[in-house]
Amino acid sequence: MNPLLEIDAVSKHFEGLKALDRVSFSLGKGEILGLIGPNGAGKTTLFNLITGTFPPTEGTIRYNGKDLTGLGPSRIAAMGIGRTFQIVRPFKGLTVLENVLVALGASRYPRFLAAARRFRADDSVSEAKALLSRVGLLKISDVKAENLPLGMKKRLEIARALALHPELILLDEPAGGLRAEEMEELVSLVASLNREGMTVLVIEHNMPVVMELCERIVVLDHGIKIAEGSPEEIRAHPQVIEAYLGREEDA
Amino acid sequence: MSAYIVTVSITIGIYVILAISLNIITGYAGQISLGHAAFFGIGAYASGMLATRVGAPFFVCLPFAVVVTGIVGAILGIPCLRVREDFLAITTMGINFVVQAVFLYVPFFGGALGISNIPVPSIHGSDMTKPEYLIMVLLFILLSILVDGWLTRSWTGLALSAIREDETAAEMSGVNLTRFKVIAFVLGSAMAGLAGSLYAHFMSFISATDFGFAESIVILSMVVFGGIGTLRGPIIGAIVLGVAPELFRPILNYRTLLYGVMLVVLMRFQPQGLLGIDSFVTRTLKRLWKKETRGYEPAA
Repeated sequence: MNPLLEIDAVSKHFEGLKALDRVSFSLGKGEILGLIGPNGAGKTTLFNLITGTFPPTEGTIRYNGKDLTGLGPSRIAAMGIGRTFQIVRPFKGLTVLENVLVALGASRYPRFLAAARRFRADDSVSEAKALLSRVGLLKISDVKAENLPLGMKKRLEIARALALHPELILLDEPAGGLRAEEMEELVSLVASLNREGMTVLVIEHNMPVVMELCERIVVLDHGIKIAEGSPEEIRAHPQVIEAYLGREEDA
Repeated sequence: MSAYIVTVSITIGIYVILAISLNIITGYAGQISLGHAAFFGIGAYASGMLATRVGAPFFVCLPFAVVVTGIVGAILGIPCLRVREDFLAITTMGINFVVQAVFLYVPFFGGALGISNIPVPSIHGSDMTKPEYLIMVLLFILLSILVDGWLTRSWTGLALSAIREDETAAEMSGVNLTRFKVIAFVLGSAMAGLAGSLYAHFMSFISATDFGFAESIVILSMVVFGGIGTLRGPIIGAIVLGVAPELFRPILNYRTLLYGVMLVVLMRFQPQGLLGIDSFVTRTLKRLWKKETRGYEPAA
């Protein structure tokens, strides 16, 4: 079976700084893969490459067999790659419902006439509400996003990503900054999405969360892939232990 | 109605259209513009020159001005796509100075003499009277309101609000930034071009000095004063700031000074404007309204 996402010898250099250096791995349909590594390892850079924020210096990224190089972020989003952000970025001044509606419009924006139609049509509103109930935010659909606590903002970002009808979602530290019970809710949400067939690539610092969620883990350190394998293999991997212990030494 | 009131009303009506148009760019799409008078001027010159040089009737000049200004808005919008916030403010300000200088120094545009003898529109073979002109301006305000209402309810309008709130998140939600910023610039400029055409045929004489940076600030003040990002805001803002100098004649000379002070005070205490979403006045009005309608309900 062809993988859904293929990262093929991808490098990203920022004026001499090698943020990513010939990283390769692939992600099968329905898989949930953890991307870990110390701060500055290049994890978020890789997310930005996949979503088209900037192009790779070298290498190719293929999604469903299609080369993503040169496609802008809006095109890639509309192709079905949703993402959340390490530091949450909801549309603060819009309501929870409108936040989801924005992403539901992805298929309409490229066509002028479709984009000229009313966005509060019955079908779009009911679809947005279904997504909000999926993440448990239906009751507060008319609240402005800026007034939500962090855990809800994170779930709102997931609902917004799901509104793209994605095959793949990229989660950037979904558990970061959350209280224990919020974290549990989020983990079970991600796990249930995955059970329903969603492919997930997740960056996470919280090891118990990664170990619980992921079947396979890729470890980056200073832009280089140093390990790949099951949670058990990663836990025992000498280079991984060194990378993390090294970071503790710095601190 | 006295001729004076009609004249003032027409001028204010033109400002209402300008404020609604700037609000599309700055209020809805969040793209600050300090050069809106440039598009006002381009519309005025396009309309006035087509009328005086070619002899085209007003009802040809007006759509021509709208189209030309919309196209120029798209072209001048392109340098604005690469810059954000304070750099965008400076870029649009620069555009205003350049456009004004072109009108002033290029002989084709009449130089310092401007364009004169722009004919009054005629209907049924006779010149339009001032009250008739006012009615026409009001109809165009209505049209602008309808366009605005369509925009805010459409997916396009939603995409613009997404861009205003967070460009990165908007892109990742499938909003093409370039496409929708250009749409906002084209719509806003075209509507300013409409106001320019109405201005040119009303004044019959226009010159580059009418469309300077100070004029851009006046338009922006109206939008900000009334409440940026709403439809009622720019309309009320244009009316209040348009009427005030007429009521208090002595302040006329200090108009821009007062607008400047007002902008500073508003930004400090009421950045959402007088009638903006969740402003002091809006909240008070809402509270009063609720008291009246729910007067006999037991307290929850």
